[in-house]
Amino acid sequence: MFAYTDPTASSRLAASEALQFWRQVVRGEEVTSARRPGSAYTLLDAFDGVPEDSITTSPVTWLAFPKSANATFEDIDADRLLQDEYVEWHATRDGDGRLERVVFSCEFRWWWGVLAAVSAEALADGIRDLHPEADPSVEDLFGPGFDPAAATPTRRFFAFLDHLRSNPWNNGSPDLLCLEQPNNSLRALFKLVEDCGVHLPEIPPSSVCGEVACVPERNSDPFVCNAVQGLAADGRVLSFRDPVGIRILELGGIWKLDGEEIDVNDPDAEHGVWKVGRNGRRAVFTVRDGLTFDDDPILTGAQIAQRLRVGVDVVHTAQDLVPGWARTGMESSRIIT
Amino acid sequence: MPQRHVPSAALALTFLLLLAAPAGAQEDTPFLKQLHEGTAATSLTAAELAALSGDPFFDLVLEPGGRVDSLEEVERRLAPPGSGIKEELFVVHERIVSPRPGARRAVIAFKGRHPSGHMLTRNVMLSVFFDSERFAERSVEAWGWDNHRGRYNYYRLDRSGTPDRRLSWKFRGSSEGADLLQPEDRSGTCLACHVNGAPIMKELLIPWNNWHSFRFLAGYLSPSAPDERRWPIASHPRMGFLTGAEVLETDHLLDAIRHFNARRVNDVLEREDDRRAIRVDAEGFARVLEGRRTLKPLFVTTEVNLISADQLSGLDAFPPAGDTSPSSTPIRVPNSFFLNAGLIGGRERGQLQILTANEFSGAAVLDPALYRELVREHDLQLSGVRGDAHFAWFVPEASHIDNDLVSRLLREGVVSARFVAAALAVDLRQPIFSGARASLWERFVPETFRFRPLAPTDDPLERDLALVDLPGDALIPSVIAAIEETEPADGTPEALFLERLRSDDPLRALEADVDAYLAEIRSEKQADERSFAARLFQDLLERRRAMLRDPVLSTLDESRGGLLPLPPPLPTPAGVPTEGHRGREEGGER
Repeated sequence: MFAYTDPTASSRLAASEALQFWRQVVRGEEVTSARRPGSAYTLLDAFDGVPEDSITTSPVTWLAFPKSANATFEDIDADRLLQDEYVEWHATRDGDGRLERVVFSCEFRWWWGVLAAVSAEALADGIRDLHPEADPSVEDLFGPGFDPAAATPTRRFFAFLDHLRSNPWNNGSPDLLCLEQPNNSLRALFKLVEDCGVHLPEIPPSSVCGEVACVPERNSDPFVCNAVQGLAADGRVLSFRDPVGIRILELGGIWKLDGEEIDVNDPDAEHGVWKVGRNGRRAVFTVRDGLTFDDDPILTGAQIAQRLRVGVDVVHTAQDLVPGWARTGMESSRIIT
Repeated sequence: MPQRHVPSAALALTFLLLLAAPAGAQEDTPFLKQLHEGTAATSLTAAELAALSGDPFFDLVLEPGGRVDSLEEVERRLAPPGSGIKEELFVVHERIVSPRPGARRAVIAFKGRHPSGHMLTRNVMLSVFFDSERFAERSVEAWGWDNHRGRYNYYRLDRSGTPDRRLSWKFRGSSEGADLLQPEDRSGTCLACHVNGAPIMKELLIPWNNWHSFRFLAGYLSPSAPDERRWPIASHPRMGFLTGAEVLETDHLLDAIRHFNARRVNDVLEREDDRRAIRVDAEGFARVLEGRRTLKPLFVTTEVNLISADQLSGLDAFPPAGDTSPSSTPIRVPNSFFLNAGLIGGRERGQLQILTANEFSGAAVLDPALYRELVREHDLQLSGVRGDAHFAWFVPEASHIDNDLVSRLLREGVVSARFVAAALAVDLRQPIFSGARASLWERFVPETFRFRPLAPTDDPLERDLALVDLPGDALIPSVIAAIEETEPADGTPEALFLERLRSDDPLRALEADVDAYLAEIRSEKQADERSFAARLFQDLLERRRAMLRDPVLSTLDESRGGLLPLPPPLPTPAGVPTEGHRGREEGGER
């Protein structure tokens, strides 16, 4: 089995002995997608032995703003269910309602779920990686009346997920841990690529999104679908680059501090306005006095999301360079496990 | 932060001397001035040269002099090896979906900070034609943004205007005062298309009809396409920068328009003597010095963008390669076809947030077979070839540059939500080319007025001074007084405008109008879908014709009949002829 790595590039999964759980989760998704009849999606294992210069990594990017949400920016900030582009955020305001800080996350809830599967303490340690002073209670993490010590790993996993929307550490105290919107899931991402990886020659690639489990009105889905369908049409096989997941890439727009334009994406800049961490899975925007965005004050997280580019990397190569079992049409191979 | 390089007048003078250097000296590519197509190019004065310094294109490409006689050399100046500057190349053409070899336009943008200190992102752009074999290396158009003076400068490299047809660079004018020009003054200039002076991308929003984008990938330009599908030019190193139009929209044009409009608004406000702070009087009011100019975009269509349904027409006049089976996906007519959805239904601060304005597209869903029947029935053509655009329902809409300006005026308190809602209520169902709204601007908008600046955290939709608290020379009292003087008859646009300005809540009244309109659309469709579609289709054709009749905006059809699907004969613009603008095959930025 491919040794899938921790998408946060932290040592947390390994230190908590959760890495193997995570690998099983990702493997399960890969196998499901690779077994989809006619899909160009294949296991990452298939790329072993393919010459490096024959493997192409194609970033598929989109803007984090939830295009299909017919709501005001303030309402989008307040309702995580409206944030459906594989990015969610929490906006913190001062007593006067002024925006202080916005934390963005692209982390899948199953990543946190595998920590929960190990133990409540592993999960709490994960939270302390983000908030060193954190002291989450069992009730915070799993809901009332749940005894994690007496539960199986599977029960802890699901109890954590079931309680996620009510978990204060994921909902404003102080910010968020991971994606909770039902469509922002690892399964949804794989399903999208799986469906769009089936070449539909009778439909132009740009129209496939409306025909499969893909939402054309979103920012994310059409980009991913179109890219994958195009690769399938070109006879390529593809997979997600390891570690699988969405990365926070770049904040666009004209940012000025006291009237002078700044490079908000410069990680070494002293202004400290934008910090991306956890291998691009989490970012913190700090509002400072004198900071403007396109000559306007920053009032909502949605305003920032309008210019926040995120993406996922797809690796692909020619069919004839991968083993026979990995090629399109061989999805029933017993090797795919 | 690196300091921006601002050359001295002495350096500019040196450049002039180089230009006049005797034969035998290094043969620089001359830099001249040519404001109108077809006229002789002349030398720039020292003052004119000095006025260009600070523009990164001038500073990096033209001012240093030398033999900058090709696109490649321009690229080398702007993105020197090792500089980390990222180049992006976007491709547009009315026939982009067809793999048949032909001309295409490339728009080239840059991202990053130049070693000189100049920020190139959004501040420089190039345009050049290419075909299946080569780029027109010596026919280049460019603009640069001068942040100090708040203006765009336009340039061109070609052989026109010199007696010996010598290759030369020309300064082609700036954006200063562009919005004030009459149609006849625009003819033969860059401002024939750049109406307000800013960069334009006609098909600004998804699905970017006519552009290479993720919604339509011009496979023949991809280096990895199979040999039989790939154009030879696909192997050119420059094609490695090929990027989708979605990036041009979000990473370049929207920002360019925003900061241009920010300067436009700032420039019309009364300032303190030191010309920095906006002057606020003892009552807390500031003053707009050019009221009519500032408010024109709210009432008059100064520019348009071109939108379409997200669905394919299935009837391309110039079809793509591969399967061209008709699509079975229902056609959703864009919201902006019905009303100014961008401003009325916009969700962010500075827009009216009437969210039902975004529901028209869901109500006006058409059977694709019926749509295709209507296309055939009306004998639509592009460049004399029967068919439609690649994406269905390709139509002019209210422009982003106009809406963005109004939005900024709202955010800064220059206009109130009351005023904007009252204006947009007039001829609501005609989002562009409204004679009724234009007449209100002509007759009633004052040249100067006072306003209470809005704090950055104030909500423009909430903070609204009561009419009784407004001074007589504020905008609304001025307009009300002007309308009242004419004693408007019931049912006239001015009567409606007056009623709404005086009403308790024009914003809610507009919302009610939108709700009623939406309900009517739904009923009409439910009653008789075929008649509904036919009626909308007639409106679609009329909207296209209106653009081609407009003495300014008709110029946007550079291909003269290849942009908007219409039955022959095509309408002609009223008034001033638009001669002198170079057609699509030769040049001209989109």
